[in-house]
Amino acid sequence: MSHPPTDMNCDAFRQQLHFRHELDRAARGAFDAHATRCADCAELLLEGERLDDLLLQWHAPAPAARGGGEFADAVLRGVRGEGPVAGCAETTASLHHLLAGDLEPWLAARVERHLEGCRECADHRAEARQSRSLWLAWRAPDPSESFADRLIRRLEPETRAARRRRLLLDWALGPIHVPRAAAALVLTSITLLSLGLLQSRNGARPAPTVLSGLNGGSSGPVVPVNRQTVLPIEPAQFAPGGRGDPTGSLSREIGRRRDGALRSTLRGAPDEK
Amino acid sequence: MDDLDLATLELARAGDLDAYRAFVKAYERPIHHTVWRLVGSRFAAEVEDISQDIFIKLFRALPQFDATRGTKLSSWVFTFVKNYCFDVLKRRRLPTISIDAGEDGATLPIAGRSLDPGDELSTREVQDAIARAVDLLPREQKLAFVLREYEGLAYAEIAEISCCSEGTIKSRIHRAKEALRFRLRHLLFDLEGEHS
Repeated sequence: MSHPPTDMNCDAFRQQLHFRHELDRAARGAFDAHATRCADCAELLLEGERLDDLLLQWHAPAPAARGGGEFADAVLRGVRGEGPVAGCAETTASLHHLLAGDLEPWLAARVERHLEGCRECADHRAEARQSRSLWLAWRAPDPSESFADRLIRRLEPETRAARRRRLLLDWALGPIHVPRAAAALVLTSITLLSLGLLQSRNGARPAPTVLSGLNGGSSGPVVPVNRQTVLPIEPAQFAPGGRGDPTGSLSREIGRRRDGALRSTLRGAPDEK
Repeated sequence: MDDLDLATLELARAGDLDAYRAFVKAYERPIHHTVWRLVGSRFAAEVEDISQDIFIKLFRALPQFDATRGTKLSSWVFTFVKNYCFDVLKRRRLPTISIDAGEDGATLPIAGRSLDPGDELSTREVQDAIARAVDLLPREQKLAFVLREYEGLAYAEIAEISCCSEGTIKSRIHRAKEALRFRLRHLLFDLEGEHS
């Protein structure tokens, strides 16, 4: 049982007009059904078919046989260099490339054939050949004997730095050797030990860290802080010379309370003034 | 011009003086000649300094050269030469029309004398005439012409250096040669007259 084709509107019909031969069976059925119902679209379809007939009559001319031969023979003769000759414009444009030996052989042959028969282009070639011999005789002076030596001397500091960088990189990125690793360990230990000794000999007692974050992360022991006594410091207070300037007012505050007030502040006791 | 082998290049990058000397030896003449021809007679006294500056720039940029990307060392080197020479010409711009040029700036008459290509082509006057004729070429044409005719670079390489197509390079070289033929015509007629 065949289903009646679904209806198609005029817009869809016009869109598919030139592709009607590519429609599937159902779509083509709907297309034809619409053409039977709509007079305007039927007229369009008729025009389309006339256009197709017209276009089918347009044939490209068959390749003309030249000199009694076939088209393929003419192409082959061209490839062998026996083909058509170049015109004056082509010859002029190719002369310098021809003299430099940069032309493809079959193109060179075309140009050569033209040159055999054209006096003007032959003169042009003679002139181009002479000018070529002229500019090829143009000599540039050689650099002085000491050029390389002077350059190397000038570059010596940079080459030394490059060598040092490369050595360091090789050392760092090279395969791990036991003696190298041991040497690195010993060096690190000595450095750490000497730093520790230096610190203990100076006897410097690092200041207690009162407010973490305000003292720049100094390495002193951290003293427990009673959070209630630490007043929040607003960003405006950090202005240079401002009330909360950590490098100014805080140190002044600590100095002022050096007589024990600070300690009591840290313990949470009310400030005694 | 043969490109240096990668091992030598790697050593030069690492600061090995002998390797860098090999690099300098391979390129000192091509670079010096190209600079001389590109910046022309106006900076003849500075050509050696310019060449040295180019080599120093090359040494500093050597670690950035990556042969695995398919770029030839010679193309990379001549790109530096081009950029530096164009920069020199731009910074020290001078009138480019020779005092010997005619009203149209095209012909370069030489004092009337017979010229025998056999023994006189290398005379100072002829050399100067060629130098002036080449100097009148637009710089892009001059670059393509010099790299092709005197350094023997391939069209593709010159195209890479000039950042344009091979067709453009061929066209520039053709126009440069036609301009030279026209500007050196006076010399050519002398040659012809002498031989006929």
